[in-house]
Amino acid sequence: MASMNALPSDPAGELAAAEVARQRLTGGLRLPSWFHTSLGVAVAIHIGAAAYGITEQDPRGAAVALVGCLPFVVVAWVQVVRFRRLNGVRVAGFVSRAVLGTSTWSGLVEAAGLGGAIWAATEDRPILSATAAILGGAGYAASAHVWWGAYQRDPAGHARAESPVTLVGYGVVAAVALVALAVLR
Amino acid sequence: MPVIDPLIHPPARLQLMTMLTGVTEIEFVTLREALDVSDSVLSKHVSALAAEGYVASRKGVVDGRRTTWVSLTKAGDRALQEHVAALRALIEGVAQR
Repeated sequence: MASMNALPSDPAGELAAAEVARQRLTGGLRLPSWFHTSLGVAVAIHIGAAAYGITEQDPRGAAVALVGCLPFVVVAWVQVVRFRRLNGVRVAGFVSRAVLGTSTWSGLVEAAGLGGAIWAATEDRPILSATAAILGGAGYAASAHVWWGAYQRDPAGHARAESPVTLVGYGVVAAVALVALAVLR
Repeated sequence: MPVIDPLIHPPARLQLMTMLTGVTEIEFVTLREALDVSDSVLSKHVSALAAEGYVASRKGVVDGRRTTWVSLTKAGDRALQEHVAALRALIEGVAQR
C-alpha cells in the first residue's frame, strides 16, 4: 500500500496548505446566537433548583430539582442542533465539553456553584443561594467560552469528546457526591 | 520509518483528511465548499478513501433534505499521522542536505 515511489515535490507546501484548509474550516465555524447566555441561565436554574431540592428533601423538593434540569436539557439539545445546522459539522468535543460541561473548568465551577448554593440554602440564606447559582451558571458559560477559544487554536486537539470510561467515571463521582450531600445533611 | 501513503498523497486528499481531524463529522456540501471542488471530484476522493477504510460516510436528513456525513476513521487517523510524519521527515531531510 504505502511506498516511497511517489514523493511529493513540495512536502512543506502541502502540509501548510492542509493546515490552512483545516484552520479555514474551523475558523469559519460559528456559535449559535445566545449560546453562552442561554447555557449560563439554564445552568443557574439547574443549580438553584438542585440546591433547593437537596435541602428540602421532600417530594416537592425532588420535583423542583427534577424540573430544574429541564431548561438545561432543552437548551443543550437546541443549541447542539443549531450548531450543526449553522455550520454543517458535528464536533463531539463541543457537545461534551462546552455544552454538557465535561471540561475540567465547567465541572469545577458547576460543583463550586452547587456546593455554595446548597450550603447557603441549608443556612436559610436564599439570596446567597441564588447568587451562588448565578455565579455557577456564569462560570459554566465562561468555561464554554474558554473551551471554544482552545478549540479554535487547536481544533484537532479538542474536537474529540472524552472516552466512555471517563464519562462513566464522572457520572460515578457526581452520583457519590449527591448521595454524600443527602446523607451528611 | 514513516512512509508516504499514496492514497493520501494527492494534496486535495491530504487537505480533506486534515480537515476531518478538526471535526467529528462534516456534511458533504460543507466539505465540498471548503475544498472548492465539484460534487463528482469530492465523491471520487471520498469513495477512494472509504474503500481503504480511511473515512466513513453515512446518509442523514437535515431540515428535511437528504445529506451525507463524512468522518475520519481510526485507521484513517493513524494513516494520516504516519503520512504527515513521512512528509516531516522529508522536509527535515531536505533541510539537512
